[in-house]
Amino acid sequence: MSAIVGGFTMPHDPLVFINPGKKDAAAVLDAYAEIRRRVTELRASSAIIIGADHYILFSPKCLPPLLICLGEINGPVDQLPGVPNKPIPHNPGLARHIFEYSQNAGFDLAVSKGLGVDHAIGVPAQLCLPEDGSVKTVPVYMASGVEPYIRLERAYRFGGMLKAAVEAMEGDERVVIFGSGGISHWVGTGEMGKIAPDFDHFVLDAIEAGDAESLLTLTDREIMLRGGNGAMEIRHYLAVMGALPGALGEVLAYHPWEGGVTGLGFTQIHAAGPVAGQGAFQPSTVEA
Amino acid sequence: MSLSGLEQILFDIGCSGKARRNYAEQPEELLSRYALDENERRLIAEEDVAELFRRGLNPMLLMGFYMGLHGPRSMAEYLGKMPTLQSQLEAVQ
Repeated sequence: MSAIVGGFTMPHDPLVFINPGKKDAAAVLDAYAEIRRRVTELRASSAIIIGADHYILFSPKCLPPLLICLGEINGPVDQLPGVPNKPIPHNPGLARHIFEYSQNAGFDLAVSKGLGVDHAIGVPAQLCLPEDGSVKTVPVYMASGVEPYIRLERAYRFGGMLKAAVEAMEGDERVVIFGSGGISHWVGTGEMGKIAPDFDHFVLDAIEAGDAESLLTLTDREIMLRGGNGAMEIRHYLAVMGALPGALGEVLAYHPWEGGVTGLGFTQIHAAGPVAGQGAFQPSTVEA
Repeated sequence: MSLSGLEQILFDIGCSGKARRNYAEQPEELLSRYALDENERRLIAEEDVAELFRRGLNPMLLMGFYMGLHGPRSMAEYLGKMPTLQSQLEAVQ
């Protein structure tokens, strides 16, 4: 039976790689390597990577709330030292299955039949998956960087749909799901460079406790005031939490790194093991 | 205000080398392709990213536009022009 065998969250701050101030990034890079080690240990066969477009891929003419790529991918298309733009092994069978499953599960996904992904997908694909290409990627873009944003509850429910879709797939796919995004960060605004450790720890504590409700009850205004416009990417974490409802998390690393612009948090959400006392949070106000 | 026209030209200049070259060579010609009024064309021509932000334009788009025109080393100059997100949120409260 196919299953989601683990969830991870990680940042994709380009400055870790551009590193104009030549700061020591070793501990940050080690955290990516630790996720790679754990993905290998889980004997994963595929990774669903959820990221946000940063107004690089999708123009104002077409801004999808949710998009899945069914075909070949490469990236990251933005130039990052040490993370070359190259083909990323993909899993078209799983992507097509998720797309078809979603149509009967309350989600109509936009589709790309081939995509050059940006750093949101490209960084975790290249740094957190085995270099031998044995873990195939299914990329999903979620509207977290460009307004209109997908609603938090919808992001969480989408994770639940991914869980059901994977479990309905024939065979023995072992899927990890990644929520790619920084915690606090201000992108392109006057505060850029500021990091809010209080907000970062609030989010990490919620992930550790399997407590989606604390995040789901935030308003977008609260997120922006406390964590910046970049923190809207916590939607990706919520999707991972929705795919592993109530599962407890583990903070692998947290770095409010001086060379970057983001609270850099790395977590694993454990598919096996105890779940939070109240089980999964069930949003009560919105139907799928 | 033609938000869609402003967003589109900012996106095109930020993401397309061809659009950037066209804008550098013949700015008025490129500007004429978009549904912008005179005031909006002036905001683009003057690279008034602060006012464009106050009008609701995405700051990632503005950053890409400005750095597309002036290169990656212009980041500090760009940020020096930009209001804070907090001030923007408080203004629209």
